Amino acid sequence: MGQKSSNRAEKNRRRLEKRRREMDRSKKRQIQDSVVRPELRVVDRSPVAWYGEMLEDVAVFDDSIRQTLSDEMQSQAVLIRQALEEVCDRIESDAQENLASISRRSPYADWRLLIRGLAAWFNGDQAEAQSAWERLDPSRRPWRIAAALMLAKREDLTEIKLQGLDDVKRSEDAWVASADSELLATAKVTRQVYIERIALRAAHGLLRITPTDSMDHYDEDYIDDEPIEPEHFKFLLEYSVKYTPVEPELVRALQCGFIKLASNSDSPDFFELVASTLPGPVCDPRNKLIRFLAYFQIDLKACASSQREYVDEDLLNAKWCSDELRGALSSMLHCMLAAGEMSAFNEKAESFFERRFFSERDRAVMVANIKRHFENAIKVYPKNRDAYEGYEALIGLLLNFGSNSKKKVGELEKELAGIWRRRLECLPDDVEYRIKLVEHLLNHGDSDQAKKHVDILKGTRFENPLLDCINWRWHWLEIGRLSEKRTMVALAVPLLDELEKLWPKWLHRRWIPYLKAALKLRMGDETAFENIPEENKSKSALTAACMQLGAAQYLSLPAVQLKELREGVDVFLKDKKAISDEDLLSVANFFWDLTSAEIRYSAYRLHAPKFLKELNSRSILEKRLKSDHEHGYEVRNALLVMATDKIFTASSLLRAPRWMQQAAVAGNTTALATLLLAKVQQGWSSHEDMERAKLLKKEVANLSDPFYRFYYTRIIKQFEEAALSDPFSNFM
Amino acid sequence: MNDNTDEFLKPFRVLGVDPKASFAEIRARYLLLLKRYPPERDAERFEELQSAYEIVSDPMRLAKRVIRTVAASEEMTIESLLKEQQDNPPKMSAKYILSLGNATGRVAQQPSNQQTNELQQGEQ
Repeated sequence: MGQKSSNRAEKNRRRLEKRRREMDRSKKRQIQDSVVRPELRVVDRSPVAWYGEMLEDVAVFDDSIRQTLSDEMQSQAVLIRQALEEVCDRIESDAQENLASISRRSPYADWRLLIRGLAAWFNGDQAEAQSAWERLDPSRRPWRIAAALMLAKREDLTEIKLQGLDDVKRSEDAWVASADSELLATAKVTRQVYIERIALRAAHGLLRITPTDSMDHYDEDYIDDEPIEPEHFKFLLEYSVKYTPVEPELVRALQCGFIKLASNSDSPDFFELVASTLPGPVCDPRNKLIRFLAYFQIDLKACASSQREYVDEDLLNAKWCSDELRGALSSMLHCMLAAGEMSAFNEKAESFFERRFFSERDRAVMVANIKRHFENAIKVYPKNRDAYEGYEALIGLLLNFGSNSKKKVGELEKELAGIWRRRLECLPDDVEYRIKLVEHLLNHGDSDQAKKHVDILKGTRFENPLLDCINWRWHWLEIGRLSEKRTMVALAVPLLDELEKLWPKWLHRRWIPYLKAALKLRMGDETAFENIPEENKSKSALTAACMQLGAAQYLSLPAVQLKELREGVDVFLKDKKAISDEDLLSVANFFWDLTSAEIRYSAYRLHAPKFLKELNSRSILEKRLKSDHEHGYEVRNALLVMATDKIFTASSLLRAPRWMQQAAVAGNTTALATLLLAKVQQGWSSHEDMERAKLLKKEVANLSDPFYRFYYTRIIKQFEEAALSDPFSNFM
Repeated sequence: MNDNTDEFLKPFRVLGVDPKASFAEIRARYLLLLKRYPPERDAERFEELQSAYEIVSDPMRLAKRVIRTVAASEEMTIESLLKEQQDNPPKMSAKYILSLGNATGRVAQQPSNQQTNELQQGEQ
């Protein structure tokens, strides 16, 4: 009986012990789950004056006390407060500079030191903070603030015990020596909240939540590596309540981040729940903008509604948003809507099946919608370049879509020119568009309007030599236009004289005498070409023949005369082997003139490549490459035009001569540029080409000729762009 | 604004101007700061000011910043969100800084002028 009762007692004891342990564990859990300790609620902390505190110190945070001070002290107190707020907000301002006006004898001198040290403390410069703060008066508030901050940085803070008076002299750390229990406690709180970041540690609880895949996903096959779910959201809501008083900015940032994560999730309902529960960031307080971004690919109607609410309500009264910014944002959103609809239009237009059901009426409706968005984008912010470019892209799309009648093409081109015109009214420095407009106007016979824009461009200096001679180009195009009609050709004479004066420095003048003669021939002087002075004639008969034909075609000579001139060139074509190396080199240089200035005549394609291929079979280029600078860079010019005309390409492969490749390896600039240009024409690149591009970049910096400095830079850029778009390229 | 979700407004803070300031005010402030921080004195600050001015003086660039602030990136995860906050130290408000100087162990009441005068007279 005794044994049984003692066993029973032992069992009861163990049972009680177990229950006590369970209760202890439960209590601990409650503490962990309970609201954060009151002292950590830093947002509730306020400065409170103590009995006998200096009025000047209290005035920094108490306006009623500040008003009892003299005017001078009041203004200094205000300065201190402003500077303090700006240092805390990490704002650059004059307030901190103005502290220099506070003299060393002023009661606010200590505050000035505090603020200086505070800026250093925030930047992690403890030594600088220490140096500013060691002179503070320990009986005043600035010292207490400094002490709390310096103590907060100590990693052994929790081990520090208050020292007795006897220890003061022995203590090496004055902050520790002079601290009281309240200061120590304040430092501990500061350390926990701002340095150890208990709030951030607690936020890591989000990572410990195991997803249960409880959401209904939009896509049945949806698989996500790291889903966010209602459990995460629940955690965040509870976390927000607990930790907003501790680290409010962190909570806000996590909330805004969570909204973004929810917008990425596959569940619109979950996103809507999150977006309607949590407040958005400063720039999107009601989460209208993020709704727009989330829905704009799938529900344009919902988008438009969010857009209206965001622009017309949220932005209208936003303190951070100027009228220009509001216009710019609204314009961007209109552009995005236009882009969304254009993408849908493109899909229908490009799909073999959908195109069949894409009626004219549906197309017209879509196009009208897209245009409306672009028009709205331009209306609310006329300086939005994306709006004009998008609109231009739309017209480009329509020009390429299906088969347009000549009339329709004309209408679309006119619309395009109108877009450029409007762009230039608001963005007059967009030179490229002024040039496009000039070319359009000239091509459509409106040279008066074109001249106005050319005159605007005249005063502009361009890095691009082709743009720099825009006035010359206007004259070139205008002469060509006037020559088309016999009755107008006389008007071209003074323009040709002017053209000669404006001739670009980088362009050889060999063709000018032939242009003048061709104009005379156009006006009836049958012997014009024969009468070109000997010193102005080309020494190469082949070159002379090509220049005559080219000039005649440019100036619209009658077919009968052109036939004769064409026969003059054909003679050489019939027996290319008989043409001398010098003649071939000379005509290649003429062809380079036309290519570099973008003024090729129409018959060029029929004979130029044949002469260039013949030149490629000769050895003169290899022989003269190294001494090219002694011969006016004739080899360079020939090689560049040959590369442009794909002479070194056959069946999509580069067939450059071995000597050229060897010269490129040796760093010859001409060879490098030629091979890269050939690759640009070819459309794909290799590792070797990339090395060539790097080499050429280095050499370009040393070139003295500005035209070739620009031209080679352009080749490199074109090559890099082509390489980037090549899916098989190793280009990085 | 103490909310770090207004990071898109940092260029205004760098220049110390109100977001609704006129272009003339912004430019005047920018030129003043350039004189204060010429490149030979503080190259980093000079670049920071230039960069801030380029953004602030171009509403389209600012608008793009706003969109980027709001839009979620594809690669965003909870982990990356927490990591981003790790690299974002919390700000202390001026009110909190001032409260660090509290000494409630001493009697926490507003000192009156009379008490202060008596104290001052006593010291004299």
